[in-house]
Amino acid sequence: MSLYISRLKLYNWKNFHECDVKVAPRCFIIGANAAGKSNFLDCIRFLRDVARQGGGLQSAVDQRGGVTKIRCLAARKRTDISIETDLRDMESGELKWVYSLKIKNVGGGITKNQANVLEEKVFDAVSKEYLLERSSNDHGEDADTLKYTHLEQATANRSFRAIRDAFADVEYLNVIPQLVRESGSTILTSGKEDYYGRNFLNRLSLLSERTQKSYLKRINGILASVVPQLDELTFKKDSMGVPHIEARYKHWRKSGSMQDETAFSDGTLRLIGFLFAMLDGNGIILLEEPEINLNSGIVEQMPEFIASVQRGRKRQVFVTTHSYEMLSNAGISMQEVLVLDTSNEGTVVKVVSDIPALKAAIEAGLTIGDVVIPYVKPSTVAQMNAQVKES
Amino acid sequence: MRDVFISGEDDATRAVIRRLVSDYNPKLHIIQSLPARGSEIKSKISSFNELARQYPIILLTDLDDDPCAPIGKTNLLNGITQSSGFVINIACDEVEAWLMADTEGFAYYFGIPLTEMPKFLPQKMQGRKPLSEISLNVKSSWHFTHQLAHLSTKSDVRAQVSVPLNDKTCKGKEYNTAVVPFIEKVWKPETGRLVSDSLNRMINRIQGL
Repeated sequence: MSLYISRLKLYNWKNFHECDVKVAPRCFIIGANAAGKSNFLDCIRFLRDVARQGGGLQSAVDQRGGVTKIRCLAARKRTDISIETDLRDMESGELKWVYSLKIKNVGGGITKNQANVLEEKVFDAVSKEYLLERSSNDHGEDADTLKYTHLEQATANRSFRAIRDAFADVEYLNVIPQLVRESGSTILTSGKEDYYGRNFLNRLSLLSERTQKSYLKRINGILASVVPQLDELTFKKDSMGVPHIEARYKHWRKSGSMQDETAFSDGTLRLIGFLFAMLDGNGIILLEEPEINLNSGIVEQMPEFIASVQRGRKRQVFVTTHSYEMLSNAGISMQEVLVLDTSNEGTVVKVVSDIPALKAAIEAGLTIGDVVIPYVKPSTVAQMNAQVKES
Repeated sequence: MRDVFISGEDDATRAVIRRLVSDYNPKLHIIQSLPARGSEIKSKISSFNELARQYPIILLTDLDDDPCAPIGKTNLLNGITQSSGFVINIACDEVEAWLMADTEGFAYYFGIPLTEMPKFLPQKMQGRKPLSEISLNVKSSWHFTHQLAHLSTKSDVRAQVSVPLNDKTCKGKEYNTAVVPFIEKVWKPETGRLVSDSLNRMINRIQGL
């Protein structure tokens, strides 16, 4: 059973002082630069980092520089941070679970700063009962027990393993072509989280030969229509065991020339990374601006490609984007788009259908791209060029 | 506050709408600008008209190849019955003419000799009544970029706005960077409306919202 996040409630999480928003299985996140699109996704990555093997609360917080770095700058008297999620079944849409975690910073001075659990709750929406209601004041809790969530402990999360699995399977991939080409960097990142695609070829190499062939066949099929001069994408390892992808570059010679990823264009590598990310795994997937380096014609197709993958694999997809082309797809509904709007009290997140003026404009026949992209454009952006002074 | 949408083809046009709203009807709150690139206005006109039933839309466009504003408006609407909230404004002949209608302010800001500025004269544009508009044989933006900007005493303006006569490009390389601050901070629409009837009509429409 695949679960998807249907609601996110955040308090003091990075840009978001307070946020309570419904989320669709295919979710597009739109906002100006520095509005908090990546930080919005980061709360999902945070839950993944808590839940995954070898992770845990302390590690997830440390990776982000400590509680004080996570806490919203607009925080007032209440300094705790909380994340609450509703999880629904991808097939039926039925609410299955509600998980919430509230943490705070303890320590300082001569004692080490660390995160402590203030509250952790698991609500089973099917049986309508709390399976976990944990508070820092409970009998039996102490400074050591509060360092760990039940989510990260296999014995403690037995009755809600489905939540742990849903979070632990979250995928985040933002392929940076330059890093993929730098084959030596795979060694540097082995064993670490790979957000930028350095290990993406390595991940491909770890798949069974059958799965590998199946993915490459599908990727080849798509590349044939969008990069017709590339053919026969294959996978191989060099004499040092470093994984590579190769393809035939068609030209006037009948047999063309074989090229590996070092010779692929940025756009081709981004596209292969995007396709691989979509095909591999079943968990929730977070995509950061997948339109970068890609031809606008390809970007226009992305929403439908995501939808077609979702029909086969029931997995939730989050996409941050600035792309007019992506959002001009008529199949995107207003409920699928979140708008991040900055304010003095932190960034406010709204579903487009909850903004009456935007809703009216879309219902009048304009596309989401027509309406939402200008809506998030900073009003002062035209002054940018006036600030340039030659020295 | 009353929420409104605006729509204009380029940065300068949108800056003019914002300035007029701010000066003449500050109770209006501009939600955002709607797309109006190239032929988009014509292709989206029915959506704009539909949306205007709920939220007023202030649209500003240039006269372009139409002989007069009413014909331009009829061509734009293409048979659609205009909603009362859809405020269509057509600048004669272009928004740049409205900026030049504040003759002294324009000349001083862009360093152009006052004697070189175009005149605004009563003209019969297909209608019965003569209306005061810019008197030029070429488009006002072309006149600005290909002629006036070359005469500027300010090197910045010459670099940002001017275009060589043999170049068909219609705007300078940093045209908006040069023009938008003028619209926002210096331009006096109250002066301009005295010599440009199309500007005066747009101001009246905004005040009437």
